[in-house]
Amino acid sequence: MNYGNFSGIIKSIKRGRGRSWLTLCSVAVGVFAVVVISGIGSIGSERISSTMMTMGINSAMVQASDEDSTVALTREDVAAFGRLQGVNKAMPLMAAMSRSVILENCVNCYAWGVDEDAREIISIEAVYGRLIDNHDVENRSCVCVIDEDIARQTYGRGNIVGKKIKLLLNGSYYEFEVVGVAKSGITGLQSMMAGIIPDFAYIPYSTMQDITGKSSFDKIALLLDSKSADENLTETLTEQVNGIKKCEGSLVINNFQSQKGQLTDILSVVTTVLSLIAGISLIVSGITVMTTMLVSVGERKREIGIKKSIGAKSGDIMWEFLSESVLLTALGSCLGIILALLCCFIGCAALSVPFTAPVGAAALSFAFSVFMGAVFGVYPAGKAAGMKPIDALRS
Amino acid sequence: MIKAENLTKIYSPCGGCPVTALDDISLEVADGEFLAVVGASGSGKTTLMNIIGCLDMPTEGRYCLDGTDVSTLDSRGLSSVRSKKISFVFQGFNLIPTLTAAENVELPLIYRRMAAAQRKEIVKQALEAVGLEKRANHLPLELSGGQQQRVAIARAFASDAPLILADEPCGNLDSKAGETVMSMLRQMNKMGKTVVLITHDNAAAKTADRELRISDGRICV
Ligand SMILES: Nc1ncnc2c1ncn2[C@@H]1O[C@H](COP(=O)(O)OP(=O)(O)OP(=O)(O)O)[C@@H](O)[C@H]1O
Ligand SMILES: [Mg+2]
Repeated sequence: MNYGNFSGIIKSIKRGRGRSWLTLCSVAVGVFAVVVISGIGSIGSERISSTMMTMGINSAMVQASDEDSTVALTREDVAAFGRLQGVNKAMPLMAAMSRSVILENCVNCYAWGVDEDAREIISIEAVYGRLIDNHDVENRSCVCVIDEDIARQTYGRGNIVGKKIKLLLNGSYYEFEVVGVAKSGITGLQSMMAGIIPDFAYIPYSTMQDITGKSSFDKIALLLDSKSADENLTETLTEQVNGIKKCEGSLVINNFQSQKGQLTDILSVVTTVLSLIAGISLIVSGITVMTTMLVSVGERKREIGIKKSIGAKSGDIMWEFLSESVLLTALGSCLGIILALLCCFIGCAALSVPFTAPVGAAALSFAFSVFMGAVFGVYPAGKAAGMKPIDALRS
Repeated sequence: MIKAENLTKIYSPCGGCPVTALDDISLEVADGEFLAVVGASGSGKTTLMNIIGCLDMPTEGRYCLDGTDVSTLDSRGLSSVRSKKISFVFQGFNLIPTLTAAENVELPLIYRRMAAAQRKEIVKQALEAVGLEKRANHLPLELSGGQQQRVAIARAFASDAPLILADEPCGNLDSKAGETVMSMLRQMNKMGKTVVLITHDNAAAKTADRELRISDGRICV
């Protein structure tokens, strides 16, 4: 084939009509949509993975199943669960949806009643000040550790150790002293799903028990032996804890591993569906390419006639038009990919999430749109190539 | 060069009565001859040129170009004959509008798969021969009608085909520009090319070696 004329093809696009640019843009928009959507998806699942990492992949939570909340978890249970095979440590946990009032600002948050083991078991980390310790638990003191996000939302800075905040628990507000600010493990996720996953506040579990008037615990957090943390362990542990409490299946164990899997599964389904829908726009732009090329063939009949009269073979004409449509889609999808990557990059920077380029989606949509260019270019190119020289000249 | 026997061309447009554009035309053109074909509008001049130029097939008759019986060739063979043996200069719109003068001249060489360096040299010479070397990088739209025709002649020159077919090359030009184009065709003829000029301008036809008059698809005189 006649590769020497390649620059001529670029020229004919460049010097050619605004229509070529519009076609190019329609391809770019389609590719842009596909790449951005899958970019968001992959960044999202990346965040979920890393978040779940920080939340402690080796942790699991024992709690009463939704149907049966009569089972009361006690101090003895904590000790018993802690001794189970494959469990390193157990910690009582209280949980309540709450609302914090700081400087007249209301922030919805989730309050956890914890003890000193929270650092290890649910992986919280103090950025400023300290975490809840066993001394706080014994004294049933009104101290709390809050997420850095809450601090930033209300005070506009991270370090608010020593400030007083009010937490709404069991229907009334209680004043707490902030003794520490914890690193918000799921910042990116939280900002992406604004409102769905709330910020956290941690207080001594004993204080929470006092306020709610409960003597039992809502949940028991387990630190699993990292080597044996898998599905089977969860199953055997579930049996064992139900055995200890003699309550047949009323207790369930959630571990973060399986939650992570669920979240990423949902996300990947959503991403795939959205990407497919966006992929339809690629077919649409393929049809646009075909229209453009057909109009172009009609418009350049005379040109085709001249080319044939000076010795162009059908193959030459075919190659010229086909490569023009492939080039159009290739350039269009490059443009779309560049814009999409730029968008992802800016988005990541704005959400302060590490940037990961959706390379696979970019490559796939590039290949797909170039393929579309070839498929939808064949008919117009064949039409041009098959033209009889006199017919082409007589226009 | 050209040997045509009993050429007949009948157009049968769909939904219309058939038109006999050429009726039993026989002609011979020797190598290096300058032939003018004259005739009124609608007499079949363009039809004849299309057949001579291997752009169309006669309904009946035999046509040999440079010893090859053209009627035996397929479209691929025809384009290769066109590429090697024939150059066209049409009445107007001879050039590809998106390509510069130089690129237009280069095009037949590209279709002949000539190496780039060689092409550049030939293009330069061809544009010099028609006095347009300064306009090499202009697009057709930036050239006057006469200059465009000269680029088309430069293209014929560059392609170095032995037969030049010109269908009313001065049709759209004023007498002075037309004269320049004519003199260039004569110059090409002196360099050994066979030229078939189609015109309805008797004065222009007089300057040819031989005149062929056709009327209603038949040769008269
Ligand atoms: N494709 C076609 N279909 C039907 N009839 C045609 C076709 N092409 C040409 N004709 C007819 O054939 C006849 C000769 O046409 P042709 O174009 O060869 O004339 P011409 O001598 O070149 O005229 P002009 O000087 O106006 O260019 C005309 O009567 C024309 O109507
Ligand atoms: Mg004519």
